[in-house]
Amino acid sequence: MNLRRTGMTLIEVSTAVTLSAALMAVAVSLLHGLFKAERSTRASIRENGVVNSLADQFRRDAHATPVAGVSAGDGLQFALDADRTVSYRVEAGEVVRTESTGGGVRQQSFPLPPGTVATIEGPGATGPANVRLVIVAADEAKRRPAGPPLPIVVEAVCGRDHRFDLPDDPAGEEIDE
Amino acid sequence: MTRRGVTLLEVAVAGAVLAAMTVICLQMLTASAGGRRALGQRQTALREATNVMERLAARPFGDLTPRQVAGLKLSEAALKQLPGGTLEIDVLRPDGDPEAKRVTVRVKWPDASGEPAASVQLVGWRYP
Repeated sequence: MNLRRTGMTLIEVSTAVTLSAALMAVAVSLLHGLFKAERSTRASIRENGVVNSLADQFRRDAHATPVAGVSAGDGLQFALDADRTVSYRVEAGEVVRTESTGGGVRQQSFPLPPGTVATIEGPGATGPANVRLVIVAADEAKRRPAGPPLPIVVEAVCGRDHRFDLPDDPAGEEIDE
Repeated sequence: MTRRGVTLLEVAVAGAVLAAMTVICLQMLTASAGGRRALGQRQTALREATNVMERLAARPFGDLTPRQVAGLKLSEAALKQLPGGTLEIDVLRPDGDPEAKRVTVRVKWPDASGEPAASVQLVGWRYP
């Protein structure tokens, strides 16, 4: 009978199992962190896209409004022309744009990045025709570490699209379409 | 005679592979964090350049001269996010169209290594 021991001792096996368990724990926590980072990146890209489209829309509305058609108070109202008005209002966690035309009312809401708050400044703060939309941090605890850099300032000049308007002239000639 | 245990060479190879993997992982994480930071700075610079262009567009045509725009600087908030950043504005009267003014707004900022690496540029045209 051969008395030479083959195989592994219990200590060897338990060491190997402990080591592989530790390795696995590290790998799992790493993967978990990676997935979290991926989710947060995706979310901040989406939030940034919302802020950009809000900025574009805000500038377009301001540009299309004659300087006399802008009024502040509970947000900002743009009277683009006789039967078309657009208003911006800040609500909890979002900016709401309401467009009223002869045909009806359309509402669109732009959710703000978490932990931020927006303010809308009417004409006069920075210039006679300048309006501003400012997004600042409100609650650092709710902010995503990888969230957009703050503050975000969107300046717009009202009446940019009206600079070349001719003065009202009832006898003015019609332009053929 | 049976060999028990592992040779030094085997241990060395295993250690080297582990070290290489760790280094690669760390490099990727650093690169990703740097990329995210650079993206944030670019967004800030672009927003700032858009705001400057907006203000320039609101000026009367006559007030749009290289001398009068020379004093414009980056806002405090933008400087905080773009340390060492600069604002350059060119106002040119192109030869082909003497009526027009070509306005270029350029925001430059140094990257993490201090090199003037990145910039954002917007070009606009003004007519009287």
